[in-house]
Amino acid sequence: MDKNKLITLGYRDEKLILSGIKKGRNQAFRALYEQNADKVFRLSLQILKDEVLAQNIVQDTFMTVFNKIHTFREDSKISTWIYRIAYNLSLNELKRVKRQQSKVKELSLSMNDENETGNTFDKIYSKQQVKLVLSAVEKMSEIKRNTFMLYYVEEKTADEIAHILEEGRGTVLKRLNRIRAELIDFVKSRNQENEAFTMGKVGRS
Amino acid sequence: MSEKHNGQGCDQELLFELAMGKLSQKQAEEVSAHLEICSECASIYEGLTELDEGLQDIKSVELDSRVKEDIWENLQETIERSSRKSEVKDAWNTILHSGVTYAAAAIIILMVAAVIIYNYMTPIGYSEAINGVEISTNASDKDIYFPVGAKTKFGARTKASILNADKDNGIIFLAKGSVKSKINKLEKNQKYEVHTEDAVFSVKGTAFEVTKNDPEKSEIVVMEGTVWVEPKGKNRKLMVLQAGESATVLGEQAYLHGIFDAGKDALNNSRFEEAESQFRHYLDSSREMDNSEVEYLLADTCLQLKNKNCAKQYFHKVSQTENKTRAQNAYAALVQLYSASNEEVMVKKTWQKYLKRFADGNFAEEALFYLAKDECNNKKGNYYGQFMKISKNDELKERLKTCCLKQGE
Repeated sequence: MDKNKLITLGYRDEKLILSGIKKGRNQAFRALYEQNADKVFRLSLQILKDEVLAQNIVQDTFMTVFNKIHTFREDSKISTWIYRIAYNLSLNELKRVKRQQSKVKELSLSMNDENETGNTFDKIYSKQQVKLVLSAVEKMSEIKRNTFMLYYVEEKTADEIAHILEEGRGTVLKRLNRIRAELIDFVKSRNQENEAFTMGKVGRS
Repeated sequence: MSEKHNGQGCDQELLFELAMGKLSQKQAEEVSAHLEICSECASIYEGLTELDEGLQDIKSVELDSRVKEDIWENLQETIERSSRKSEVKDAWNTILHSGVTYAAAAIIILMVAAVIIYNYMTPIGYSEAINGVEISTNASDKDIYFPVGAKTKFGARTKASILNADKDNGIIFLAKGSVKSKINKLEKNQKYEVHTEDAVFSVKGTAFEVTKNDPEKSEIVVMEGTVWVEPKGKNRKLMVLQAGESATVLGEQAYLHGIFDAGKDALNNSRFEEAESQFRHYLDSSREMDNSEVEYLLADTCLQLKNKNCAKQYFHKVSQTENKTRAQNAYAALVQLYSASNEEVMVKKTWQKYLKRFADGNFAEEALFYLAKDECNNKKGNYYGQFMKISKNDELKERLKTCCLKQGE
């Protein structure tokens, strides 16, 4: 068995973890880290599209969790609370990066930002199928993208997403409906393009 | 779902949920049965399953296990440090709550009461502050006492005016020179402020010095307690300074420099943990757009502490700064770090990024040599040609040729 999993074996349940952390038990915090670090990484990678920055967010998120655990009101799952911290930290970081990039552009330095951040992102997301998802979700607004990823990748419920994004459940549900409709349209137009392409080929032959 | 064969009137959202595995078994069976007879829905469903396959791949993205462990170790170190601090705090609490201290507390209260009474009287050697009086000093200082409880020293060659001096307010306008103040703890309704053209410095029980020797800026040093600095102008941001910190107000911005200097001093004297803490404190409180100078020093400190992950993190940040020299040095440092841990792919990527931004940079030759060697199999490769074109180092050129010849064989 994985050494890390063995260390955190006694902490499967969120309530146990929370009471363990409050009692200062390191293993409980380790269990929380083991259970959520990859999820936080995926979420911030989606937002920041940069592997190193996303790794930094993982560290900052868990540091915040450790420092603010006493303020956690237990009105949601602890993992939802962690997502909320990671989401806010990632958005702040994104703002910082954009601000810095726009300043660099102002100074007309020959820096290709998209390629700069794209490399590490592409390294992970280079498969054809993944590219397909990304091309579909890239057309959406930032908030829709994040909602989509939280619901379909991280499998959060509408209630949990509402908590993370700090908005109403109804808003989230309506947005999910719009996302589905947009993706269905995306697939339809892709099907039509494929059909037209095949017809063209047949016509030429 | 209505059973039509051309997709018209079908609830296509159910197809979406089926493809994403979000339907109950019963619903899934019903929708699947519909797909058998509706070609339009079947074709949409097929497209959606491709999306789902992509999603499954995204779900499998994980942190590299080594990075995950590094992050955990960093967290541990920071937590241990903060625990040590809270242990010291607890020890103090224990002492303060022990029975022995009650008698001492009574004595202290009596002494404090005496000090308060004393402070409401003008101390010996001080003139009393009077509303509207202009202060103009020559070669020597002038000591003035404000009834709010502030002992104020107007430095040599200072021009200032006392805007308000009563038991609740002490307000000074400093046009030129310096004002050093030592204030007792103020009540809620009391205030003590030093105004300059650039900012308002207001306090809650402290000792601090404001200097105005440059028409463009004001300087402040805080010796005790807390000072609020509020630059003038529309976009001003309030800055809170603690004891030991100092700042410059320039335009609408206050720049903190006390922590930075303390951090540099700690780094220069090999007190690396202290330096790390000072630099992090600086970055937490900084409102500047570009913190690359401090980030670079922090990265360097992390290297000294053998915390490679932290060093990488901050050199990476610095590599994005607009300061070209600093950014180039950060790229070079990153390359060294990646080389030391045999991360050849990252070395290559870092040099590629470097060349994209600094084609004629200080390390361009080194970067091109590395990348050219890497693509030796193809002599006509981009980097090989570029290196041969820009390098004036014949020995390196010869080495590259030989290396590529060997690869070719």
